[in-house]
Amino acid sequence: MSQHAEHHITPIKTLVQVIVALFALTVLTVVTSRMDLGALDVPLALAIALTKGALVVSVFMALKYDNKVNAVVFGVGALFVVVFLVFTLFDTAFRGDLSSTTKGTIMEQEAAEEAILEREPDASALQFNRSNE
Amino acid sequence: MSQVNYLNHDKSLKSWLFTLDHKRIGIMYLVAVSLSFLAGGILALLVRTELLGPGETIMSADAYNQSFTLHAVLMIFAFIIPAIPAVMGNFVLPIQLGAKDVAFPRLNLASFYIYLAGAAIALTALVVGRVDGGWTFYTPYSTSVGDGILFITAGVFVMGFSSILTGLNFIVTIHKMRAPGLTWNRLPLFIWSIYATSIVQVLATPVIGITMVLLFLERLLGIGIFDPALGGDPVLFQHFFWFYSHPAVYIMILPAFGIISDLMGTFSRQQVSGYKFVALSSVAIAFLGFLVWGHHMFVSGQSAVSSIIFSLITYLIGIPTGVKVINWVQTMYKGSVWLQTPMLYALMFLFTFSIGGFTGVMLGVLAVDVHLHDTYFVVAHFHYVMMGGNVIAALGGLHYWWPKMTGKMFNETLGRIAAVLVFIGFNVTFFPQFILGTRGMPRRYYDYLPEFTDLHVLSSLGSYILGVGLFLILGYLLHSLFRGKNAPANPWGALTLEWTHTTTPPDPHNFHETPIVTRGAYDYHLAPELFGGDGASGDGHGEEAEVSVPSGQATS
Repeated sequence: MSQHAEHHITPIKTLVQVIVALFALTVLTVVTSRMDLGALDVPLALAIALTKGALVVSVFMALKYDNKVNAVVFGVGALFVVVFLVFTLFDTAFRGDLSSTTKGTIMEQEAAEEAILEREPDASALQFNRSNE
Repeated sequence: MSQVNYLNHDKSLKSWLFTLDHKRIGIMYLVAVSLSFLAGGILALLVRTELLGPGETIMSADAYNQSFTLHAVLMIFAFIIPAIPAVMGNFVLPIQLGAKDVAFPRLNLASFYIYLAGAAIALTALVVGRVDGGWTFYTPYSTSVGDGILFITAGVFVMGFSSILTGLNFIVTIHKMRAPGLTWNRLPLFIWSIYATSIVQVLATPVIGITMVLLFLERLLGIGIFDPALGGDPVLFQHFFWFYSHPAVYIMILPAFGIISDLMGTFSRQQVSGYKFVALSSVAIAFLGFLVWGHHMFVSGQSAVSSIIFSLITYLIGIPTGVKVINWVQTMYKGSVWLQTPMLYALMFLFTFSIGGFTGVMLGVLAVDVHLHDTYFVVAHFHYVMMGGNVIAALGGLHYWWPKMTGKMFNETLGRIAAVLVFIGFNVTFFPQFILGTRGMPRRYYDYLPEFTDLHVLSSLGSYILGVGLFLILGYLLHSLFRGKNAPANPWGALTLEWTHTTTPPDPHNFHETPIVTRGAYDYHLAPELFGGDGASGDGHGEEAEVSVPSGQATS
């Protein structure tokens, strides 16, 4: 079979480079998880995970050297995962904003709560709806 | 029958149970899904009988809740989803492609047994505990009540694998096993619709599997995924569930579109109008179908931003669907419309599915949906799409391919009577439910206010007419197996390969020689002598049935 004849054998050096990259990215994941990056927290974690996944799929699973149709099939599957995540985040990121009976957006409310806390540290004892956010 | 065909070449039970022949697997699916339909249908009749009057009529509230839940689970997961792809897809698709079988015959048989195993696991719920939360398994109810839900969800999980493997098999078969000359532009539209369906099956079904596993883990191990007390989000369950289950609606309806396209072309004796648009609209529906799941969640607490986006995209689905309906109507225009039983179902489909589609767009309107959500309006819409779409088309397809599958003709007169009964019964059952819904009758309720009684009684009477029609179909089809006249090779004068190049019933290997395709699937304007093939040359056998033919048409 011609496909078997063309089967790509990945050099050891490349495999080692990839595994080192994976370890490095894992360390980066841990480090960034302990930093307060605000709105970038989740996107950065997802970007690192995506990079790791891409390395595994393209090199360890040899998709990079395989028939391009397989890459397209994989890409379509990945696209639908992205669709699911993006549309679900449209819900969780904006939940309660337009239907809220209070004025202002969630972010404005949070800013107002933080301002109160700065003025009166004891106010932390008060029950804010989103005190953990 | 003198000739060797797939039914008589080996009649042992073992040869059926271990068969790798796509036609036999299709027939086994037909038996299995018909039994599911029968069980689900009887449950529906019981539910409608209970609703003949307010309060208790024939069963307790608990039994009622379990009945409608089982009706839904059986109908959706064990009947509608596999009905057309697994039965007619299996039987017809390889022959329409000019192939001897599907790409992976063993996988095909495995799919069937996985389906059976899944159905058996789901039905175990009947024995071990109650399942009464509806087919959507919404949390937190499904994570806190009854053990039966574990079996139902496990059954759905297992049946999902069958769906994925069948879809995968069909995609590879369509790509790799088309006969010489059978280009994408010559494919029968049934193949196009099965292709689009298969893509959805492969991409969406794993998500319901994941959802069921997460539900399982939360129930058994207390992992906080959907339970707010554990840090979870119950609305997340609905996102997961509908990310599969809305595309699943298209798994149910796209194959029906394919059947209708084939019936319109064959029984109008015309090329299907706008062939490429009809074909590609299936793919467009499959794609857009992934982007609208949130329209089931307008009152779930989902963000308004999401609801607006989902509402807008929902309107878009109407475009490719409208393309199909307009082209089907146009196919009949100036054609020689032949009102045989299969065509009656195709015409019926145009009415019922269009009502289902239009009311779907109405429900896609945010403000309207808030009023109609969880009312009988939704029940009516759903049944106009699922039964008025999928089941009616499946009945049309079953009548169309019945002679090919069995080698026997059914009684045409009884076929027409049953079709009329089904049409009347269906509309009398479900149209009053639109009115009930707009007046505020909530779905799934055991009891109701006295002012709703008349419409409920009318709906129940309709269901009995529908039941009579369906049992009549069962009766004359079974009768035809034993007493029916032998079918000619091509009783409908169709042009697709299963009619022109195979015997009736087909040879175990489908074709003696691989067909070479030189024309499109609906080139009725070409001279009959160009059609060629074994079937067209008339190797039907025994006494031929009398089939009336429209003037100027030949049925080879």
